Amino acid sequence: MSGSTRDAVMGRLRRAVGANPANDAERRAAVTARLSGAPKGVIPARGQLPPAERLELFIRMATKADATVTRLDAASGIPEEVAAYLRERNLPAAIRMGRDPRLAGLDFSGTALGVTTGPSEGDDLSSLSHAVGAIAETGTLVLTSGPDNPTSLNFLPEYHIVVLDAADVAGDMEAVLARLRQTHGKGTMPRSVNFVTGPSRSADIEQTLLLGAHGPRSLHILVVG
Amino acid sequence: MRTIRHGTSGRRGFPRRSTSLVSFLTDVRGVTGVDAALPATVTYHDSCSGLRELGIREQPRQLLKSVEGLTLKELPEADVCCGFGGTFCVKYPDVSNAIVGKKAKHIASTGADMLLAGDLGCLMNMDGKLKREKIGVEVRHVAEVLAGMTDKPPIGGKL
Amino acid sequence: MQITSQTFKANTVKALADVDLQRALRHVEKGFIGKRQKAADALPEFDALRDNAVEIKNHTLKHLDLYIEAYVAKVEASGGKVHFAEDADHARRIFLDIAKRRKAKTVTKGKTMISEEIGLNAFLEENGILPVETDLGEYIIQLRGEHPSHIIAPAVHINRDQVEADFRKFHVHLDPERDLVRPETLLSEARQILRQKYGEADIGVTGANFLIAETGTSVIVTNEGNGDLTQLMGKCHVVLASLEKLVPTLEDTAQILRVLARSATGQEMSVYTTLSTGPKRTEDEDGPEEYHVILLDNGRSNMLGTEFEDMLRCIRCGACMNHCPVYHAVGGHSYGWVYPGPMGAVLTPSLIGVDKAGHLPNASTFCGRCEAVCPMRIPLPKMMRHWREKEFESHLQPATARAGLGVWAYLARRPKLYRAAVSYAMPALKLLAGRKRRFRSLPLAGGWTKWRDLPAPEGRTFMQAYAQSGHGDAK
Ligand code: SF4
Repeated sequence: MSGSTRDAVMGRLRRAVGANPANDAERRAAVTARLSGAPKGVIPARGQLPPAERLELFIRMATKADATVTRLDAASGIPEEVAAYLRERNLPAAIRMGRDPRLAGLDFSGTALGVTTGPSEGDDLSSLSHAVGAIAETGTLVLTSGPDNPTSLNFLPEYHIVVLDAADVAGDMEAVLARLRQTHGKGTMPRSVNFVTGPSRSADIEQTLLLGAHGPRSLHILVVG
Repeated sequence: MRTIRHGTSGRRGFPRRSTSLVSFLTDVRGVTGVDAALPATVTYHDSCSGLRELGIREQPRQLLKSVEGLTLKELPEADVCCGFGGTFCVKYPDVSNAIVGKKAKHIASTGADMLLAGDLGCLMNMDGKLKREKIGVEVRHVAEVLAGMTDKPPIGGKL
Repeated sequence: MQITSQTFKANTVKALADVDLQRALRHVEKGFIGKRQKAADALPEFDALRDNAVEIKNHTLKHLDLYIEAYVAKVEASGGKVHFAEDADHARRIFLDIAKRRKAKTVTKGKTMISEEIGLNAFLEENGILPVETDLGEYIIQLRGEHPSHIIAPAVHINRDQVEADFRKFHVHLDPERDLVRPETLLSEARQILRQKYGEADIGVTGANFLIAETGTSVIVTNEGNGDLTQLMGKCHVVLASLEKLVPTLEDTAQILRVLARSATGQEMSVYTTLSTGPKRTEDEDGPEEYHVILLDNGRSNMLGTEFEDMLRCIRCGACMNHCPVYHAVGGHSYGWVYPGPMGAVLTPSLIGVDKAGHLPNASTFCGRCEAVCPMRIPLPKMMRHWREKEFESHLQPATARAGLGVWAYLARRPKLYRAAVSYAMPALKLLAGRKRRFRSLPLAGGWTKWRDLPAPEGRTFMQAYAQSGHGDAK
């Protein structure tokens, strides 16, 4: 059924766009060129900055999108910072995270935190993830799915804490996409890539903006380096 | 010609070959001021065709500011359609009325003595609503003011 | 969904008299216009990005057959499946097949207009499957048994008080004395209730803002995170998308994303932009086991290569309706089907037929504000005119309209003639109007004089007076 529908739809499309044997090679070449060349288009000047200013822009834009940001000199400071963040908000001293080696290597023994690993079932208040990158232009975090950072940790807990290496902050989305392509291979993607800009929100009731719709109410970013 | 001051960029004379009320305004590009006088507070509605098809926005405002004694009070949502729309206003009178009703409220809120615009359809539409609502604002084509012709009766007469 | 576009006129009369609706509609004007402008102004490259977005879509549409081929190959390579659906009925049947195989009882849904287009909810209910809308606005209108009145703000026609009343009526397991005054409490109540549903769902349905040919990826753009929870927890992710959602590459997606959120809500970027490719991988510990895309035609391939092709660039940002004076006055339900506002006035006749939707392209003042803000530079007024002409040609307009209004329309499009006609008519009208020089009613002008006076100006028009006073040579 679907096979014949596919043929019918494709036949109509080919007629509508004027495809014929004479222009087939030329049309295919145009499509192949675009898919392999992936031209960049217009890149806003806003994010095209040297590293220090780029990071500043990221922090400014993320804050504008209602995220909170703390800077740390080294990853070793993460456990204490997470503990302090939860303490200040009167949250239980418990955090869930994935198997990311950069997080697994952290020493939580100096804190009272109960650390659990693996995806969330929905009963965790707080989670910790490691971003693969960020976009300064819009203050956006980039997270990818996988056992290292299960996607459920980005959405189910109410408080989401995300570690970001300062060196991974790119100026624009295209730079991040190029990096993803390098990591995963041309034309291949992880199951899910999440671009996250601030905590969850809704304006569905009288166009009044409310934070914490279905995803996290709070997004806290720890910039390391 | 005698009543128009040209800016440095103005190469054209007064719109001799002006063939429509809207192009009157485009034709006076480069004209920076007029020698008309009108001691009144006016407000200005941007007609859709003028604003979005011909890009007329600053020109009439600039010229109006050069009219002696005239105070220009900006109309809230001046760039929103008045609800005329040619056949629209007779085909869908209730919708059109809702739109021009909002417009009339905005016009009244400015406290202006006179409403100006550059499109005859818009002017007739807004005037009709203002009169029906008994809002005493005189309605004129912006060109009437710029040409110093406000001694003639306004479009819909006086209330 | 029952089509009521035929009774557009009656719908609008009802809408204009609806006090609650009129109060709610003010939020459209207040909520969107200023924010979009601010976001556009804050990005110097905004217009250049619009131009490029148009080019990307035009290029894609010209090669749509090939991009779909490439896309399908990539989806299959990532372990997903693409189902071509000819029309609404076919799409529903494909969905039901998947649901039956999965023995599905509950289906959670992120926001998708295609679901509205194919009437999925009613169909699922008929087949004993419970659909649960998870977007807050969609959830509210599902409780009310209504349909979205806006493509990005589905419940924009509803006031806070009405939401409170609905929650009290439907959430009967909760304390009737609870305080629901603040919108925040309404939100957390919905959040709590929907939390349980995500996990119970056998299938999670989302729409797609883009389908990327390069990678076989579907993209959703949301603020709440419900679309993500829906696809993540639903065991089987079904994407409902139409043919024209294709874009070539990741970079092309990034370009259009920059104009999408800014045009829609005035955000620099929506909170969640999610790229989904296939089902969960062997090493993954969460995510759906199956990934399906139902790729719907439903009339779109017939728009390609016609005067309506430009409409296929639409990215469903809602800016056109946010800026439409007619939409502001009557709201989305008046349009009588899934897509309201200017984009609906063009798309609806294409999808359900101009015989049913003929009012929509007519009910426009042609003010051009929609085209001015459309990020994809779709010439909406021009295409509404195409529809009017088609309708006129096929004599779908009532005879009176063709005779009387045809003249008006003809004149309105020709300023010179219009002016001449008005100037000839004026002396006669002056006589008729008598001393007051104003008409309160006039035969043939009933639509006008119902709400306004018709001016009978002086015996000559301004342009005549202007010419005679020696100021210019106006004819
Ligand atoms: S027609 Fe343009 S403005 Fe309207 S929804 Fe589509 S893209 Fe947005």
